[in-house]
Amino acid sequence: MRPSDRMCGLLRLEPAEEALLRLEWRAYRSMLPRDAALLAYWGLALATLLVASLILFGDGFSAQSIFALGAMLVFLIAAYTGGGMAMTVWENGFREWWLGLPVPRSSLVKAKLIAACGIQYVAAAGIWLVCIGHGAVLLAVQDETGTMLGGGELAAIALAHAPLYAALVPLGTFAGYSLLGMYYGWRRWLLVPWIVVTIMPFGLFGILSSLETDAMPYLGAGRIVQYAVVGFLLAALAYRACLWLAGRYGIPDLARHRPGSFGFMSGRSGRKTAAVGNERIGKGFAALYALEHSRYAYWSSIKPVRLVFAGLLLLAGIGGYFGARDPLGLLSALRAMLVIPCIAPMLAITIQISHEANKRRLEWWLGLPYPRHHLLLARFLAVWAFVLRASAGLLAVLAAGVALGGREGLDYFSHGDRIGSIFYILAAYLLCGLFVSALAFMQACTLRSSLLGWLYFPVGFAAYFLPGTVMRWAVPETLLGGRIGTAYWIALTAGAALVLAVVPLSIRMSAKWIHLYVFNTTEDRLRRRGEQAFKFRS
Amino acid sequence: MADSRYPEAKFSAAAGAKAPAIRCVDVTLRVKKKTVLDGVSFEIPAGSLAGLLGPNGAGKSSLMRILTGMFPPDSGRAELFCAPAGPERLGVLSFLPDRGQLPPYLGAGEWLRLAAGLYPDWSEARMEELVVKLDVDPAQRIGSMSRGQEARLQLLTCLSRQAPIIVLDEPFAGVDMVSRESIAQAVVGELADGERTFLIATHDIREMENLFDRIVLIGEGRMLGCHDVDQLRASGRSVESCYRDVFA
Amino acid sequence: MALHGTLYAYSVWRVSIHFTQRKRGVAMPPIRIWKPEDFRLDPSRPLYEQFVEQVRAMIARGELGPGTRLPSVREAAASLRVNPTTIMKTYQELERPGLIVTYRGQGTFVTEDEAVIGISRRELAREAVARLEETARSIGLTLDQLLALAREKE
Repeated sequence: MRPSDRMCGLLRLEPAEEALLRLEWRAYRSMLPRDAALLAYWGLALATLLVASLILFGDGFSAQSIFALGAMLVFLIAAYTGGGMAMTVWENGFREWWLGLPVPRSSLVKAKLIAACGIQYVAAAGIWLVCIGHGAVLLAVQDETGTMLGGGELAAIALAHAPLYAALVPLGTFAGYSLLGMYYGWRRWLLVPWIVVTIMPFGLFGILSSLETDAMPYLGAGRIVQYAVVGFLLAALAYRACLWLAGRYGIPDLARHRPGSFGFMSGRSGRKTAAVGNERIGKGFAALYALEHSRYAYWSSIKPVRLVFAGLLLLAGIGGYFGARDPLGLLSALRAMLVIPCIAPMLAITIQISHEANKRRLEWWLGLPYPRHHLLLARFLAVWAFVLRASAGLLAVLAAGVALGGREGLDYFSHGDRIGSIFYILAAYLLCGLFVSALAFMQACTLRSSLLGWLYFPVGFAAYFLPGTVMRWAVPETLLGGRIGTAYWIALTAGAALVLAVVPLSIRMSAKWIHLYVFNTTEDRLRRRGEQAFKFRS
Repeated sequence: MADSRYPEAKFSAAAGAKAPAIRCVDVTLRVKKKTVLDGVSFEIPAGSLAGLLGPNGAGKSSLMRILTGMFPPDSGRAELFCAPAGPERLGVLSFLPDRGQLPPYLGAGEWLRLAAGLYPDWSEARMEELVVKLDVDPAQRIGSMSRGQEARLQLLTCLSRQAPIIVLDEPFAGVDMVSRESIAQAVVGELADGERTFLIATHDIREMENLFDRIVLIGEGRMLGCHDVDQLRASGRSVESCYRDVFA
Repeated sequence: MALHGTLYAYSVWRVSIHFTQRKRGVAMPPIRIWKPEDFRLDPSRPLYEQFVEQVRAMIARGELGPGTRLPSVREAAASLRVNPTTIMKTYQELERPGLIVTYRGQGTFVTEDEAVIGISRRELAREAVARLEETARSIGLTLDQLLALAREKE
């Protein structure tokens, strides 16, 4: 059997599989631009995205970079939605019905993967169009002095990216869905490469932003087509890997899994507790903080997480050791990495609240006899304490690595200006992170009406890119090696003042509206959507 | 208006010598244009055990969430001891949410230690008594508990507080018979001093009907009756037959 | 009442000794714990009425002997899974004719006064006869005629 035949065999659908595929596709169908209203929304969303990309990446990014950024986005969206879907399967109420369907388990997974690819293709097409739009605007407004971008060139880049996007969609989706097989046993080790693969593109972001317009032979149309071919091959590999993992391990694990149990199936791990420890728990706010903290204490006590963290520490040490010879490069890499702790608290807060609403844990939390802003403050403090502690550990190991790396780096960094600039970078990113994570609380207000929700959506989306983009202006490359001017220090102070104002404000606002999450569990939303659909039909 | 339709409601106002523990006046709630509660009015005298009965989707949970101050009603008043309900009144009220869950990564004992710090009105003695009565294993992780075990732990948390009002939303949902009996027993044990007021929403009328001294019936967000159970029985009706008359 | 007074005074003076005695079972009458199966309840009649009837019958037929200690309101309500006010009312109803007696700090006991139990039995008998008379009337007979008819040999 030739490999191509084998591929066809894998993709061929039995009648039962077709029905399965229709079932899976049905879940996505409502998102397609089927009628005028939805088409208008899609148009509006794409236009907003275009405007956002023009604002955020208007200068300093060439058309090539924009398309590359688009590719990154396509991959990330596919991977994270895939991963997200794979995670929700575990707690999905339909799970047991789904597993009980009389078809081979590989077919179940196959239908999910193909349907997910379908909707991701639609999203990718949208992103592609936005990139073309962005390129066209660049084409129109470019002045004579810069490097000229021809219409033909733009078309070539766009056409070259089409297959790349087409390859990245399945690659991202399959990579994301492979999470389905990583819930129990040794497969949990695979979480490490999974996380690395899905976080790497964020690093690409830093590289792209610092690339000069001409110095990008790697983003020429010819190269892109080659990448697309590689992408397709990788996607085929990811497909096989995903089917194997899910069919061999994921689905049996899934069948054994008890919803809500977080994998505490075995008696041994069911009895061991490490989240609170034996120290005395205070009263009032201290207990509230202990409750929030226990979540991180638990997660950082489980083995795979400890191993990942140990790996990161090792990497930081090695990076510091070798980076000592190129201090400027080290600083710029550090700057790129700081984006992650900036985003993490925001992600954590957003996911926690909606997850807890879905699991009906939110009501216990809101039922605690404390003012709501105390609850939120405790949560905010706990997540930051955790992130800061982890970051401080990594930075300390990095610094130790630099110190061991030789006199060169040590001399470089012991200069007063360097210490100043390092302090400036860290402070700027900390403020940025505090700001974005406070924004995450604001999301509660958007549940008041669907209009606000639609309005917030692009803002919330942009917030994830804020640390990567806006910080380019706040912490420009030139600052890394030089002396931080007074203007920057003043700006930093102003930023601190802003954050000091925004954090309490958003906590207060969120405290006022957080109860709306209780009404907005996935279940409630689906029920309401169902009612609407019913109304339309009848 | 509610009074003219439901003469029983008038009786309660006259009979309640103490201030009512729970009072709802014309409570109305809309969620995204849908009317969930429509002019609900009733009173629960202090020290009684009231059942909130109605079919699925009647608005029972929403009403309870309003009483716990989770969110305010769109119009009307919800009062606990004659002061409006709200997040700042959570101290007088102990709430068991419907199908609620506790953090799965904690052990039961860890959770109870946290709860002792979290709730200012926590009674260690009562907790120890209930741990035995409700048969909770403090060493077990919440995530590995069966539904009945977790329901008992949650009830234990609610009852170990000394809050004068206890609101339980479906304490029996998905709970086995033995757990149900021990939950009902624990509820009765807490009621005996006559200082606590219970409001319990349940579908399990058989298990609870001997416990209720009042019942509040709501359907599709509307008030469909508020009865004193003894009076109901004196007129030859049971809670179950009353429920059937209203909803079947 | 006199008994009540003495016992109360006794308990005030010698609480500790008294309690140890009771614990050892020296002066402790047997306690009766009720289970839900001990009673047959009709949910469409006031529950306390039914408890009163059935406890009276238990006392009358000697199942609850004189001096038997009854569970506290809280214990009884919890084990029978009924509202404590129901038990409270039941005990009040039974205390009124003196069938049960509550000593503060001691508990509730079936009376040791055989006369009271005798009165109660007589009342039960009268109620039964009244009901039987009612039945007889409904089929056009007097009570004597009813009994005679029932005992008539074929």
